[in-house]
Amino acid sequence: MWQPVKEPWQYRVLDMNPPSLDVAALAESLKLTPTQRLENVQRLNALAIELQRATRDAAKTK
Amino acid sequence: MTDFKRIFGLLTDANVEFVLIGGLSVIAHGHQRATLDVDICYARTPKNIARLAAALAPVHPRLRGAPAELKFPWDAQTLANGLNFTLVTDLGDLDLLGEVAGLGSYEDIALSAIEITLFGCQVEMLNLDQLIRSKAAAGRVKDLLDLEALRKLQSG
Repeated sequence: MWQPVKEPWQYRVLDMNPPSLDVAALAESLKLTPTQRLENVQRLNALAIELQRATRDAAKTK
Repeated sequence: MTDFKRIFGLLTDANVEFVLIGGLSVIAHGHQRATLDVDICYARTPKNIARLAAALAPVHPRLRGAPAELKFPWDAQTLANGLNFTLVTDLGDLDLLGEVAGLGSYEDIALSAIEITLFGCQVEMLNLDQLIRSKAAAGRVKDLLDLEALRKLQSG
């Protein structure tokens, strides 16, 4: 029978922080050109579509 | 999946007067987040409407989410009769806005818009102040999430 994994203590510490902006991600993004930023979004979109397709295919084969 | 590069190419090759707004402008300014469509504010002059209609005709624009049997003739007259259009095209989703909440029409926006190069095309885009005003005016949850990042970018 499946048993839930005990939550690592680090998660509880991280959850104590209020939700906020990821300034490190913002700083990384600013190193790119606008076109590179848009290309990243297109890659993300392609990944999302592929994941949706894979999930649909897996459901069909069950 | 929306082909940003080809959409910008179609519009700029036809000299359509437009300003890039919405999620892509947020991303181009530096906040990485997901978006699926291209949003633009276009000039409502008869000449520009004719250019826009001709530029997009090859990619078969139709109304997003509308029943397939609903007639939607894509031409300058249809564009002139409406204002805002949420479209699906052969290149992906494209939203055309005649006016932007908090900012106004193309003529109001273009005065302060910035010019950037995207996929080799010269494109006008909302400046950071305009983007913040439009997001504050729209006020949806996703806009409020963008605002925090945009204000951070503004403060440097």
